Amino acid sequence: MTPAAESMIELRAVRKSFGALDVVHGIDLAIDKGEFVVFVGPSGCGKSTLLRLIAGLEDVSDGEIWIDGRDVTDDDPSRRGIAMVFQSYALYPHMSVKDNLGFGLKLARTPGEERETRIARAARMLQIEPLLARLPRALSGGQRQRVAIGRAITRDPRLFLFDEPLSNLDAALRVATRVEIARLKESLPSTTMIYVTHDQTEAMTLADRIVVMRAGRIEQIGSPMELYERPANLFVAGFIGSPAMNILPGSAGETPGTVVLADGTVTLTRRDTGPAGTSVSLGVRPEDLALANGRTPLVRGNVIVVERLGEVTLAHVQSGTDSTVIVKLPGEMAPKRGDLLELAAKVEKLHVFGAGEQARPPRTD
Amino acid sequence: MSARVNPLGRAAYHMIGTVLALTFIAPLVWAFLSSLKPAAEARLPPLPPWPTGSVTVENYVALDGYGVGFWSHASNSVIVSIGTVVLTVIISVLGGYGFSRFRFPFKSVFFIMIISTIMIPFQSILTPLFLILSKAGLQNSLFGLVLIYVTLQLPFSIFMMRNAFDAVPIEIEEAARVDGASVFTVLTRVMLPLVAPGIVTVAIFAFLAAWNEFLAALIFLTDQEKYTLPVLIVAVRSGRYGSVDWGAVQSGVTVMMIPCVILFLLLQRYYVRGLTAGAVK
Ligand SMILES: Nc1ncnc2c1ncn2[C@@H]1O[C@H](COP(=O)(O)OP(=O)(O)OP(=O)(O)O)[C@@H](O)[C@H]1O
Ligand SMILES: [Mg+2]
Repeated sequence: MTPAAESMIELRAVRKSFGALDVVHGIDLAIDKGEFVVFVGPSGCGKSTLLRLIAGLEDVSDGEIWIDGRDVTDDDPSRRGIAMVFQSYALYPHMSVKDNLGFGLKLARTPGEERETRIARAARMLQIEPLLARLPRALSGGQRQRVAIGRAITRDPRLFLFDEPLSNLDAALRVATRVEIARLKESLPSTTMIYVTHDQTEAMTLADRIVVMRAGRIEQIGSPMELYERPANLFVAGFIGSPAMNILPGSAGETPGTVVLADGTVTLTRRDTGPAGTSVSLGVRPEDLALANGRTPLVRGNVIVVERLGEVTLAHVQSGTDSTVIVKLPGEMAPKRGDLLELAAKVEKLHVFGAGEQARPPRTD
Repeated sequence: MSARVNPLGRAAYHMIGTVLALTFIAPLVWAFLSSLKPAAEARLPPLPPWPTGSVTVENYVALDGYGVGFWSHASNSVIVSIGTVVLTVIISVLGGYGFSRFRFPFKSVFFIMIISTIMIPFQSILTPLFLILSKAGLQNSLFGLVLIYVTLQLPFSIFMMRNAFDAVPIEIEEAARVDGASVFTVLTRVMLPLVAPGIVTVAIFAFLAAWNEFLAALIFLTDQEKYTLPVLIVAVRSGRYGSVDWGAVQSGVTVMMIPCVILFLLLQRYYVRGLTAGAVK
């Protein structure tokens, strides 16, 4: 078998178990050259394990891994032509920053002059030139992270792996470094990057494509906006977007394409809702809800909590269906606790999920 | 220490420290001073400890007259000690690395077996060791003695090295693997510098044990020319014509101390770190 022409990486039915514990359940995935792919998912879903399988730090239990048209399933990490940035930085404590950057080149027997050039280039790119003579213990967390990224850049790898590189940084530094990584991606357009995180902001802002994982399986693959606009199921719907999508339980109405919510409201969705009576869930994002102002309300209820964040106000509304609905209102609006709100959303912003959690497609008629 | 330390407590702290330090150094100084006494004076009751008449090196000259000459015994000792250090370090680094990083069947059983041999008094296995060595044709050879010393050093050394490797985060090793290093390169270029304090500790212990060991050397070495220094010194003590040459004994003790002291002073920085490695995060 040969992989598709441009695929930089191809995973074929990759499985991994630790003893009796199955962690990765047969994953198929192809990643193009130059793509920035983000693996997201809740803690313990197997993101790091999948990344480590690609790196060769764990052996697959079954399946194949191809990198750049070559089957590397049984190759040592040192022979895969990859670079990895670890969550804990993992700098060599006994080497200066410069030696940390140059270690991989030395191992590859890169001539000294070329080595100096590449180290200098990486140092300039990450603005760590003044730190080159220091030992890692004399660096701050953010500086260490830059050195770790620099160590990966100098080797000019085909494939760049990041395992939650920002999670040890404080909030401000995290944003700054995220921008840094976005710039890095722009300056290395032909380098393929895989980035693991459980932070959906990082996923949304950095990714060309996002792979949403749950319990060792892929739930959905798509561009950030695809996942945001057309989540394939309730899990993805709840995972992408903040605050999470509101989910209202209901059932398919008599008229095709309508949903009857628990409080009796009938809503037109223009989605295929299946035979009348099937239980379905109606999803609507907080930012897609607005005051009804005369339209037929989707949700009607009293405000129980108001969170004013400045540019927006989040109001938690006790709807008639036992579930709390969150609505994102403009920052200058400040409903009070107990106020009655009537909320509506545009019909194309509604999502319908079947009992099996899968999203229902738009009606074709 | 904070600025408001009780001055009395401080004085007591220094006094107790001084007394302890003096207690430990006194016998060493005493041996050194006695070695400078003329042979006749050295035989007398040892008070005062310093030479009362003239200072002389005749004891050191006399020491060379025992056995087959001081230097050949000293080189026996050096060979045995260095051999023990080298073998112990190589085996315990590889063993400690294996026990720290690899998964294999019966790992903890093996480890406990190795550690539990510390509890067996070495004197009780002298006879079987003697038999094994003579079967192997290694009895009365310095190499055989090295093997015995290494065997006795290994439990502690492997334990020490496993802890040293355990204290190095696995990601550092993984980073090196991804950077292109083979398992062997990871061990030599990345891990060894990081466990250097542990290696120094193991080496010092192995050196001191081999350098000072007497009983096994006495039993396994039968030719006088193979004697190591501790055996030589006892031979000096039993003396010629039944009289003990105390001056020569003290000079031998003094000479034997020198490498130990030098080694410790050179390496104490690492040694202290090695003993506490992994104790705190
Ligand atoms: N070496 C191992 N031995 C046994 N189980 C392991 C090992 N490594 C990971 N696991 C298990 O595999 C599962 C997935 O772990 P993994 O580290 O891939 O999760 P993750 O998605 O990266 O989570 P997080 O976001 O918390 O880092 C977890 O249940 C974990 O306990
Ligand atoms: Mg992880």
